[in-house]
Amino acid sequence: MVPWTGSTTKVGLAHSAYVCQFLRDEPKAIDFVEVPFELLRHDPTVLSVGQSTPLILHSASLSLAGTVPASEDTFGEIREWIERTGTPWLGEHLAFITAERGYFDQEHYPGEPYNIGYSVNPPFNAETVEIVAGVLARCEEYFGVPTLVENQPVYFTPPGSTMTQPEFIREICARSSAGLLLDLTHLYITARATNVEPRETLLELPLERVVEVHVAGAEPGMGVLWDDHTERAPDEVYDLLAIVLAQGDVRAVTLEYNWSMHFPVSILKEEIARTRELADCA
Amino acid sequence: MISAKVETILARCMVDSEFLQRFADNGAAALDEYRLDEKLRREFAEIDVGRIKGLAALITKVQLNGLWQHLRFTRTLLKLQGIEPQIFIAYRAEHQQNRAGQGVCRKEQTRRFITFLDEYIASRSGPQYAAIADVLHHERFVWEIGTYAQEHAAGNGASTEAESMHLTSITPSEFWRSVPEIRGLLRTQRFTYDVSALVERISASDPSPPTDCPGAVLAYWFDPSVHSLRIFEVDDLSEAILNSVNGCRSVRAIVDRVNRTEAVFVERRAVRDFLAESINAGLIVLRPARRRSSGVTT
Repeated sequence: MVPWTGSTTKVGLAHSAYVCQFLRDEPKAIDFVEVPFELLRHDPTVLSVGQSTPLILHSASLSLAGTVPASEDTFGEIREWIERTGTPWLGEHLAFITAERGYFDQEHYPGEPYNIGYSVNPPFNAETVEIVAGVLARCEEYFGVPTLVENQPVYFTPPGSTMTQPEFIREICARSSAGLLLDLTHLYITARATNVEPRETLLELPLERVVEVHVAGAEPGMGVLWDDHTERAPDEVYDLLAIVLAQGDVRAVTLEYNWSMHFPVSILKEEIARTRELADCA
Repeated sequence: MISAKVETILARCMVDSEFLQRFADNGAAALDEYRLDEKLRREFAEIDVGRIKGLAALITKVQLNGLWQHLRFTRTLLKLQGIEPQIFIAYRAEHQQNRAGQGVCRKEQTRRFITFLDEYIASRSGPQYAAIADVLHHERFVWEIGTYAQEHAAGNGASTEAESMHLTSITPSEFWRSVPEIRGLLRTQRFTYDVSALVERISASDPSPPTDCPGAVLAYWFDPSVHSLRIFEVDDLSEAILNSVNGCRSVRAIVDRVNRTEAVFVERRAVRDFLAESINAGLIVLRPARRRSSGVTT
């Protein structure tokens, strides 16, 4: 594996089917590739990308904020991939993906939790903070690399919430040593859905804890914006990126254009250049 | 305990379409299954159900990102027309069944989604849906033939040739009894719009159908001799004949069927000429009529 070195802000891509070809055509265009643990588990050959480019490991499997803990096997497999990829940290969603099946829904899969297969916001309250802090303490002890928590887009406020998402994130940072994987598009979507200025939401977060930033597109629908990794990021997201880069010690910006293998290369290059320019100016 | 209850209900909304619909129709009644205090019940009632449905649709969409590989222009058009959320909300229940069933491979996922979308589009009318149907059919056939090509590696054509008949060496009565068979795989489709013009518009992010470019009947053929896809225009009679060729019907039965279903009298000579042309092009082979079974088991 190519090791992660240097202290400047690096620019990379989230893994997608086009990434290998892109790297062959443009070997110097990006500094790293972010690879999902779930993909490596399914297709270990993806690891070969790391022979030419440093890797960052991302995960959505720990169900950090869930009341059903991830299995020992999942922890073990993630640790194995942390070692194999040489990732400098592990990015994980501040969300749940599994949940207890209620008493009234035991007909088909008794005893098995619901598995959404996607990250969903938990209630933002002290109880969830406690759960997340507990799992993060375990991660710190077990993984040997820092764990970063990623903010989810808030499309609606989860019932049972007693705080806003920024307050929730601040509490978690206060209770743990975790860094932040700040998804600026998620933040922008959240701000729009909750009628708050994106910049205000941004400045409520502990920006000094931001290690990595995600940038992707968003698409309007049903009165809100939806996460969309097939679209280029809105200008407003880049405005937020400039603020974060100026205030924090960001080590990596990942462009997440990974939902379609046909994402236009010309736009990809423009997005990389735009991000590099911002990083260089910071 | 509150977090566990909330996550259970939200998770169920995401994976159980029937429950989500009940929640949308009458949230209070759906939540009666759970022991919630008044505050939580009120907070659930305050959520815009459209956003929960939207999230469920987004999850379905993302979990089917692999479909972009084969249905690139279909998905782009759905997106440009702004109907992606409705499509994925409608597909949620079937998608969850697929997720629950073990071993649904990518190919099968693709096939099931195509079938769903084809039926969904067919149940609606209007030029926008006709355009989606056109681009879906085009990509479907390209995908089916690509898949067929992968599964039938070169060399498969050899056995096809073994028992084929040559027009020049058979009698007229043998010809009428012979059974035409497609070499490789063939699909035909009557398009509302010109597919090339449609794809060009989609590529330019224009969702409007090319109403000034009417469609034609196209044949998509995997030609095993060159191991590649050929797309060509066919006339109505050729379409009718090709659609009747199933590897079981004799030439006579095909003529009868075309005359019956097309309500046009087809001259035998026209069929013979078309078959001769198709045989020369390698599209069709003629097989001898199968002997009837004697019914005696030895």
